[in-house]
Amino acid sequence: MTTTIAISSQKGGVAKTTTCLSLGASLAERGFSVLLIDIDPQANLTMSLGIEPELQRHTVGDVLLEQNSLVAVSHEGPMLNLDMVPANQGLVVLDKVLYGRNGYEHRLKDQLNMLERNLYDFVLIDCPPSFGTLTLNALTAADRLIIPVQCEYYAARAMRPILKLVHLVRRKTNPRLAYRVLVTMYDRRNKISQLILDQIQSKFHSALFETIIEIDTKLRESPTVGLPINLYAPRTRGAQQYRALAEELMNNEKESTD
Amino acid sequence: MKKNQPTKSQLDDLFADVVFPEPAISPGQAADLEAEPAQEIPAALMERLLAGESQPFAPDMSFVQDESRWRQRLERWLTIPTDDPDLARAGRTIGRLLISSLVVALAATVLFSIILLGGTSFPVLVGLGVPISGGIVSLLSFVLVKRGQVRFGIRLYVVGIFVGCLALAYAGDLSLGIALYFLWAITLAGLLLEPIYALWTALAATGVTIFLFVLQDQDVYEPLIIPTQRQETLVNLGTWNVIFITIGVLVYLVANNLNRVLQQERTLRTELVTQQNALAREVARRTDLLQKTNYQLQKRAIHLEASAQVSQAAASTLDPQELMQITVDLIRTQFNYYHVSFFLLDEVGEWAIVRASTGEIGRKMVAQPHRLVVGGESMVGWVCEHRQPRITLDVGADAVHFDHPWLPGTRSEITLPLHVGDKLLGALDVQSTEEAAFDDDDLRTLQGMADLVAIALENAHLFASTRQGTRHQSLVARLTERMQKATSVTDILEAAVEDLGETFDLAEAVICLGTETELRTKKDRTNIG
Repeated sequence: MTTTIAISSQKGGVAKTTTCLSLGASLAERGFSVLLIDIDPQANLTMSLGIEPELQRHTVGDVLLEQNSLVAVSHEGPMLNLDMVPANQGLVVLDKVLYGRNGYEHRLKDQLNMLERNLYDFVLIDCPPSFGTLTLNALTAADRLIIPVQCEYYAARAMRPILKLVHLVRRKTNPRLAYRVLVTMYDRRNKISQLILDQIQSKFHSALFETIIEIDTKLRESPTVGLPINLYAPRTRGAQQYRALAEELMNNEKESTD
Repeated sequence: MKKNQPTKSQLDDLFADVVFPEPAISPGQAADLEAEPAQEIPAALMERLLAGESQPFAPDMSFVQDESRWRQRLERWLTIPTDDPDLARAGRTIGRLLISSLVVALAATVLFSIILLGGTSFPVLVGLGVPISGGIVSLLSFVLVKRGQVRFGIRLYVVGIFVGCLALAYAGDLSLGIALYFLWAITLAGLLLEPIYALWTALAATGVTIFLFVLQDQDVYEPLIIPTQRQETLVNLGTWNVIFITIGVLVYLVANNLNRVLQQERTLRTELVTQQNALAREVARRTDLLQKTNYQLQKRAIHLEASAQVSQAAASTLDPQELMQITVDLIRTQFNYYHVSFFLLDEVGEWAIVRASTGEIGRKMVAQPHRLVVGGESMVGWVCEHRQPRITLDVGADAVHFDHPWLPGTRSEITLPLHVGDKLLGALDVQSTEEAAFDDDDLRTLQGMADLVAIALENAHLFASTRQGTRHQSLVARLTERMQKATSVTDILEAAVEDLGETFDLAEAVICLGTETELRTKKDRTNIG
């Protein structure tokens, strides 16, 4: 059965794309078949796999306009079991065009349902840092939502809208949406980071991933070579922590299935 | 503690007013929420969101509360707890129908109750009984449908309508009202159950009405509503029975046709989706294959070009050192490898010594010179001993590798023997920073280059030997001739000194004559001097 995971936050620069790519690569490394879907008009995920967004004739936009299937626009990634559906700036227009069309919130979900059964074990969706039809499509299609949060004041404050969005989506389009909070870019030398981490841990309890992604320069470097961290620097702390996250996610999935 | 640093208490209100949703909700809660119809977000809000307002959810979420709740509750009430989407859809439709039926029955009950206030009469009582019983049947059917027993609920409703018709027909003659109830039952049976049920219901209605007419005609019982004249009743019966059968057949045909079309459409859609997915996979597979083939072709073109350049170099130079250096540089740049070296065996075949190598590290190795023992644990040592090529795709996992501290980036390595016939000259060693960088194609190409270089080295060696042999023969001939012509010992010695010096490019050649003791004394003096 395919598990669809959206990675979303209203705050930019909290490692949404890095989490999507690295978690996807870690799951693929474990032998799972993974599809990454970029629905951010900034197309950072697309670029991070060395695909030039503006040269793409077919993107996730074609899928949302029901002009193409997900499989048809997907690319094979740099490692076995890892495919990706690219995005480009055309999505900016699509975000506005889509609204008003009949059942627009369910377009991505419908397309995922049309995929061959068990073609992918996991589908990871990288959302834009704003709310609109694209994010709504992603959260409607998702079984799980991962909210990356940086231990900084503004980033922690930015969790309010995404939590309200969870309420809204559960009421409107996807009642079964479950979410988890992931602490990213954690700097243990920084006092404010520690204080905010304490706050997050005390408030979110079971909604928080035990794995914490610490700040790592190699994670920042990996997009420049168009490779996930697992290939670029497989033995670094960042790669190990994303592997641990994949394991924790697997355990969670297993528990929820049991 | 330093001043102006944040404290824990300052961050206490970070999430003060946040309403935390449960991380995951129970299936029951989800089912309740799922029962709510998918609603569009109000246009005004959506326009605000699309206009890019930074805090679309703050401060008001009032649109959620402002929406009318009764419709949601009604829709939730109508939702059927089943995983079968077709059954759920049918359940929703029949649920609406039953609710409408209930409302109509209620309205009719109220209407007949008002009429009843004006005076009791049998038709009015019957009129009141019909909606009340119809309402009860609708309610029971709805309860069954709501509990997920959709088909049973529909059957109960259709049977209820039919039994009601029978009761009315039993009570009186076949009036327009009763006939319409029968038609309603026939249509519902055909559309909601199976098409064939329309036909059966029509036949049952015809049979029952004729049977009741016969019973009344034979005075077996007296109907509550006194029938009109026999002739008129017979005409009514005939007419309505024809209509029942006709409508039954029509509903059967239409419903059957509709079902077939729907089934075909569903099958076609499934096939279309399957074919589209299969086609998309096939296109992706072929594109991938094409890309791989294209890559292989490009790689072969590079191999061919590099081989041609090595051949050209081999043909144009007789200097072994220059040829080896050109070759290692070519291999490194054309194939984008990490490091390339030529090792040649020493005279006794005990050591393989680096004679040409790439980059600054290569120059250091040649200058040192770096050498590896034949038959040792290194890749080069192994290849020189076994005279076979060897590939190590992950040097970290293989003990037999070119382990040199100057080349820490090596992840895979290929080493090929340099031999001409049975004679082993050394080895070509190529290293890459990628795991599994070498395949059979690379092995064939690199072995071809190694063979070319080995032949060129052997040729150069033979050329040098031949040239030296020729020079020796020419020296002997010339000396012999001059000695034959010499008339004194001095002439002989001068000829020997001159020819030897010239042949071997010597700066100075001296012949000393004397006794053994004198010569030893002279040699010792020269060494001291």
